[in-house]
Amino acid sequence: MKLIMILILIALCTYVGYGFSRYYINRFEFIKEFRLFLSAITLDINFSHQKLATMIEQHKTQSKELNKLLKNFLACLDKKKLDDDTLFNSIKLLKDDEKQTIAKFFASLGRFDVENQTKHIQNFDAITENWQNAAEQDKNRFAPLFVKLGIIVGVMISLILL
Amino acid sequence: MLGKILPLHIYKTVDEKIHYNSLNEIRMRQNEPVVVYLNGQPFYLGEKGVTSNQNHAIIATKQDIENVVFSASDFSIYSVNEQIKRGFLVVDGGVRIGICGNIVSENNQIKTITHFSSINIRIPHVVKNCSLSAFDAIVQNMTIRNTLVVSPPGCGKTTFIRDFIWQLSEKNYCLNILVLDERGEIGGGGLLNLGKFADVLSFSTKLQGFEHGIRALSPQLIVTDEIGSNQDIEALEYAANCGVNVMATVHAASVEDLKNKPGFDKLLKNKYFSRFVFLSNRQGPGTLEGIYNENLVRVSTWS
Repeated sequence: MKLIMILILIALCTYVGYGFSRYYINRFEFIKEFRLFLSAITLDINFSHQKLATMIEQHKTQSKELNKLLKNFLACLDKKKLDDDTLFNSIKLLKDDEKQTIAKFFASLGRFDVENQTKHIQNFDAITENWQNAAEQDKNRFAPLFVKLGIIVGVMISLILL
Repeated sequence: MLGKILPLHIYKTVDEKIHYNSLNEIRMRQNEPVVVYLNGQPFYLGEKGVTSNQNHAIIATKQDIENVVFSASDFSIYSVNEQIKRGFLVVDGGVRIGICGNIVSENNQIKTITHFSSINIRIPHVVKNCSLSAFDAIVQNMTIRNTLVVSPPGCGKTTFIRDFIWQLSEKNYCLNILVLDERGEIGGGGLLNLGKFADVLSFSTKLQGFEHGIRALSPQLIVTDEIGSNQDIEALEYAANCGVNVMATVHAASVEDLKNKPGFDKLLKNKYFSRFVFLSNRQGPGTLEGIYNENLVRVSTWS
């Protein structure tokens, strides 16, 4: 019976540790998918000249949080008003300075001719590349660490309880 | 349609205080009063409706103007830059937005227009039967004479040709009509009724449109708006050589103006057009001033 309790406790703590590590994994996924989105719209802007809303609606992404952000942006377009509350509603993976930069990017999206819009996206992509590198380092460092910490804490609590 | 492009405070007044059918134009200039043209007459637009007192007028800001263009492009300026380069933008329903701002050029080619400083929103109207009084002078034995509709800007040329196309359909003149809609105003992106026999080729230059249209669609009549450049005149000559009749419009206030237009002397000398329909704004847009024959002799007068 004790052994089962210990195993459940360790599993629970590991799960909590995994929960913390997900933040870093999801954040990395979000930024990676965001950069894929930038590539996709650059292509569309240059070749098919599709409308912004159509491109966003058609874009498929694996990041739920990015999906939310794009939907929020479409809602802002509908309202003809870009406000941070609507744009970042339920977005938890971004830091404040990143939110500001993304808000500025969306505020200028669609406002230039093809050449300047492409440059604008490329400039922004250079910034997100740095974010991606940092997020990848954090993911590699902290994601396994939190899982391991969860296991260790579980084992320690078990030892204390024993 | 206007709700999609106008700033909310301006749209609210236009929607609540102005009868849409009388609205011809809305002009917005940076830091200046908004002006609306109702039945061809200018008024300031105030919060409580139209006014002749400029102190009560709504002032258009730079942001308002930029937002109109941005909304009209469906938030995608890059997708309509070819139109913007030519100084206008057409939205669904044939609403045309003339744009003024800073022209960005490279190697003598316009790349785009930025920093929009003023806009002119022209609202198209369908005026049923407005071409009827000239119809019999233009149509003879199921054949359409080459016709030039002449007037200064804003006098109803496009409305006239739109109604003429519709009349042909209503009267069951089963002619293949190619509508060369360079700015998307005649057909309004499919939202304005052109009847049963019209094929609409939008946003092409005249010469390209004439060549492509005659080759691909075998029209008996080509209808197009606002000819003016030498290239346009070349396109007309191309159509004449192919045996296709043409109805076109041009900006001019009188026969003399028309004669003095560059390139038109050749068309007049060769008697390319056999009917000239003159319109004015005298009794509101679309006032028919007279119809002239190929020798520029008046064949009919009204009012």
